Amino acid sequence: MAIKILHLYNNLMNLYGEYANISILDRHIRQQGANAEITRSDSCNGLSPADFDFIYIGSGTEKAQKRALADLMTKRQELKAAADNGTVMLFTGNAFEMLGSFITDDSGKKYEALSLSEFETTESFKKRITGDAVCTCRFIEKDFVGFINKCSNTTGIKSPLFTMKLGYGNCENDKGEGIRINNVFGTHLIGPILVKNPHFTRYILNLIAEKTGEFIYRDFVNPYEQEAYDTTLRELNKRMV
Amino acid sequence: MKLFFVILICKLLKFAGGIIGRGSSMPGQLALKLYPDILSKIKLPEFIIAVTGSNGKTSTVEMTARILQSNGKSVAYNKEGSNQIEGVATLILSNCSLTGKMKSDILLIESDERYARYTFNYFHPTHYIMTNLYRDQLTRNGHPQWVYEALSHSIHDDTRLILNADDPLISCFGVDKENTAWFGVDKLASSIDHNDGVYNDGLYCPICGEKMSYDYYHYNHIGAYCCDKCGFKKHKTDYTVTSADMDKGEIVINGKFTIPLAFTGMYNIYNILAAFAACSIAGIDGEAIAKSIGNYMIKNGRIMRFRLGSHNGTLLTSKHENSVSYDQSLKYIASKAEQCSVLIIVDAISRKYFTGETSWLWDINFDHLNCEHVKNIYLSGTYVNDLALRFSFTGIPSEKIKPVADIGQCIDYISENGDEKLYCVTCFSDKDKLLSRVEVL
Ligand SMILES: [Zn+2]
Repeated sequence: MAIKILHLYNNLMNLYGEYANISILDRHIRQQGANAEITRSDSCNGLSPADFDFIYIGSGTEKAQKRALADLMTKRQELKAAADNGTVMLFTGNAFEMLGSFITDDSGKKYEALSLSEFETTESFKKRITGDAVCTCRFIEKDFVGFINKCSNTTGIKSPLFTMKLGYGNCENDKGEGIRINNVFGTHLIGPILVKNPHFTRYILNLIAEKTGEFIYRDFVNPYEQEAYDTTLRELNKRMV
Repeated sequence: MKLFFVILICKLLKFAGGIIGRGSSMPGQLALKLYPDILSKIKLPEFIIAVTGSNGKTSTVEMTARILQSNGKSVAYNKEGSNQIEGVATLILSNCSLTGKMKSDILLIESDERYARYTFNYFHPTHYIMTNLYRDQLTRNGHPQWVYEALSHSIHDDTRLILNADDPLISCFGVDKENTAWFGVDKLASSIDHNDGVYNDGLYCPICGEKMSYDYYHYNHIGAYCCDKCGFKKHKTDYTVTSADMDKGEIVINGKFTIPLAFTGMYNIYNILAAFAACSIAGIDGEAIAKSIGNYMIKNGRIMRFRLGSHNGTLLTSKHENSVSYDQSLKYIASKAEQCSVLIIVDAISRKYFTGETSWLWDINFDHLNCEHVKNIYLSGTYVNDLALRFSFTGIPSEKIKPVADIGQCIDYISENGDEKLYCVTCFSDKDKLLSRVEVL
């Protein structure tokens, strides 16, 4: 049996090289002696969340996010059931916003979202919020590195995924960033965050291993992965003193 | 009276800046502080041509200026790096009389995409060239659609647009603007039937969101697109590269004006075409344009020849955080049959600001270098591991990939090994780290 991976909106929501999250996960799964079967689709039509061991969605333009959301809402109940059942999912960039109850766009129009948790996001076209990020996570020892690139504030998250040491949190003056709901991870960090944070890849692999029983996780680090992370962290740390 | 003094101060500062070697936009910055709407008080020339877009602004401005000048027009234009309102103010105020009248026949402005709206608040260009919108410096720009929104506020009714019809997002600016001039490149032998980038920004219609189809692509999402649902498609062009002979190195515009190229990259062709369109509109005859731009090698240091050990080298300055710019350089290398090695340096991601963001490396199609004649690929600089990791996901045999973090060591190694042609692909922010260690020709 293979580990079944679903990369949803792989074209529509792929603004910052997000596809590489799947590339690196695929490589690691093979290195664990298992196989990954990857489904990529710009629509969830005909797909059932329950059929997958890992579901991923990356960042898109504000417009693309609304289109992806409209499509995703057709599987709302099934996604909720999969989340309750412990399926591992990762929503990065503005895909994270889809996990909440509502997204309000710049014109004030309110879009109902998946409601896996009761938080809300409000966009504003006045200002782009961009910046390097370093953050800590309660259950993973190493710091996370990455980049925030958004135009929204997210409110109503009491127990965030990260605490920011550098960079913008869920909303202004909030050091909390992202959310974890069961095995569903949401964060505004954009791009290939699994490439940039090898410890996160290991954590996700562990969860998938436990959930599927397809392989017993053993530590495996590829050349350059750790070194690239160390470099980025070192360069960002220089900016924080 | 105030106008007089502020212009005087600006001129003096500009002059003093010239002596101490600081060609900056500081004089304009001060002038705007003293007199915020000063730009609306200046008597500007009849022709005000602005140029914006992700890539090709500087080259297009430089070529347009050259054509106009060699045809007897006086042109005031800004040099690279001073394309925000302060730079434009410096340009205008240092080129006008103390009574506030510009002396040049034509004012030619390179404008930053995100700040054009502020500059063109005070005056409106008569003509506005928009080259393209790509994923460029997303750490500041957000994404191309975001830049599109910002640019849309810089367009006024009394401005005539000169648009790249081959870029779907740029073309949206011309919807319902009837006096728009369009430029584009017909299907060429080098055109391809698929998007050869890692991602596809031309997949969905920017108007209605449905899937688009392409008759052909020139590169990335630039080509002849069509949306079956809403009918949005590549506009008929007024200024057209109708044929090109890349081996001979020449293009033909509008079926009759042959222009020999100093550099056959697709970028160069679009820049020449945009300049051709602008100069035609400014009244220069096509034959005269062709004569003044033929074989013209842009002198902005983007392409430089050098020697390192026994290697003949060419620097292809590309832009970090701009995958299309990288793809163009990589494709250029791939198109040459001669055996070569490639050096890629990613050390300082920007020269203007700090970021450690490397996601853009994953948007570059490094597989373009997966060809027989590319012997070694040297990777160097602070982000050497990110580069090496990225290359480990290409089909390029790993023994060709040679990461050496230290730029000096890497260049020494290349110098002592081999005599094949060497291409260096890096950004403005890092190119001096190469040029200071080689013999520039
Ligand atoms: Zn359409």
